Amino acid sequence: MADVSLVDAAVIARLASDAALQALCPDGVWYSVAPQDSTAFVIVARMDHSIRPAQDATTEYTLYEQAIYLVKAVLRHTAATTAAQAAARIHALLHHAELDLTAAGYTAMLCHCIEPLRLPEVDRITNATWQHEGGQYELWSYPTS
Amino acid sequence: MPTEMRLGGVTELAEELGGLVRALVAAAGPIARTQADQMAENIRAALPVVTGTLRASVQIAPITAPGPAAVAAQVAVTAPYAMAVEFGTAHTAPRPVVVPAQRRGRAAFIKAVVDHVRTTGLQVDGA
Repeated sequence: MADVSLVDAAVIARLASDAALQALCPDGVWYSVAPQDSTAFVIVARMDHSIRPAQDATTEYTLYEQAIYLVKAVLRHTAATTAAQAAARIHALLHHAELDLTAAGYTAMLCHCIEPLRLPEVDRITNATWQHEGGQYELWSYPTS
Repeated sequence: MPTEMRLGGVTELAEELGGLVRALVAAAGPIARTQADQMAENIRAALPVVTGTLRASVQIAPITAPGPAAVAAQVAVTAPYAMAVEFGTAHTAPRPVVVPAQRRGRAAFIKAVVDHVRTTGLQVDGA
């Protein structure tokens, strides 16, 4: 049975294994929310997921699945320079990348950026400035197991 | 031996095709507004509610179609913290509501337009 959360893990693993991104965001790559006290990290969150079913003479199967991921670098910094560098690295790792989803039981068809994101945030309590930069990435795949 | 070829009816065909576009645009406008209303309702229903400000800020915004053969409708969430809710903050997780609603709304709009075109007797492939 295909499990899309394993695809989430594969996307995270792709980003976490990159030394250049790790240097820019040393607090790691996290799903949805980072541990407290992190100040330079990458967030991956699945924003949407849909399955396109198909049917042949005898069985119903999945033709493809589409997942939208929010992938963003989040850095506590007044300047956006490092966040922009991290976002560029994320883009290089994911945009039109051939992702290996074998361990997840999927085959990737296409991964591309559909909308960039740049979002500065000022924490009302601490007055700290955070930079969020990255984008929404659309991943097409089909289950192989 | 000279051969002459004549192609007739081109002007009439062009007029007919132009009429098809005008009719489709006229029909698609109300479809777009209906789908936008539905999308706004879906977003309101799914947004988290604390004070109600975020939900109350969901609006159908006026938008000009990008050309004579186009229709457009825009759903906007105008609360200043809408992006922070949708995409998360440094300390909170994203709560995606608008992104999935947009995708489903666009797909529903295309399906509704295709269904309308089919009712006119035309064939639509690849939809």
